[in-house]
Amino acid sequence: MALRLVFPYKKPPGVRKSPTSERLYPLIPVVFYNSNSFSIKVEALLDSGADGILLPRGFAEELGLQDGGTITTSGVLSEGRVHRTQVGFKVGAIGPKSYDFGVVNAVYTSTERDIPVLIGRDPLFKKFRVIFEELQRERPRIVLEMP
Amino acid sequence: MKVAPGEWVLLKGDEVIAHNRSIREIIRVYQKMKDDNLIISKEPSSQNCYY
Repeated sequence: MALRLVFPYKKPPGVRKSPTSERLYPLIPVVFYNSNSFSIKVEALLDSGADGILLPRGFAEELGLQDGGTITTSGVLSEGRVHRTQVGFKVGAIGPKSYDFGVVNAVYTSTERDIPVLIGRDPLFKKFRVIFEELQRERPRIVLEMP
Repeated sequence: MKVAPGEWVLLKGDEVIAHNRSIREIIRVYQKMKDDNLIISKEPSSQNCYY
């Protein structure tokens, strides 16, 4: 197997050190970078129900991403306009336990919305077998396997 | 450090270094600190749903 990345689910950052918090989420470390080599490391929510990468507007603007035109999307509770863009994308920590996808397609919200950085299926699921492993595990985890 | 629902957070390990409602502010702090061990995260917006 060429590459196997394992990410234990994480508690929300505000209660990460709390022994009493039981909430756990599939947050994975990713890096976004632009053509000027400015990069931002962020814990993103892995969302298999999302088609692709969704960034908050402020995040995209701070990275200086190009606006590739708007499209309308719909989610579970609402419809909204998003902007197409492209961004450098790496999954995992820096070093050998990471994978650099190069420049990929993404969208960002037209307005500031109360959303985390979302990692949907494209491009992650096209390169990796993605396993949400919760059954019989005290600490659920995400396993990414590149066959 | 008390973090409100929905806030953006700058983490060093499991330690909250900064938190703010604005992602732009958190990215600016992240840029200024120039520390490879920092990572940005976000507090869930509610108990029932992350966003």
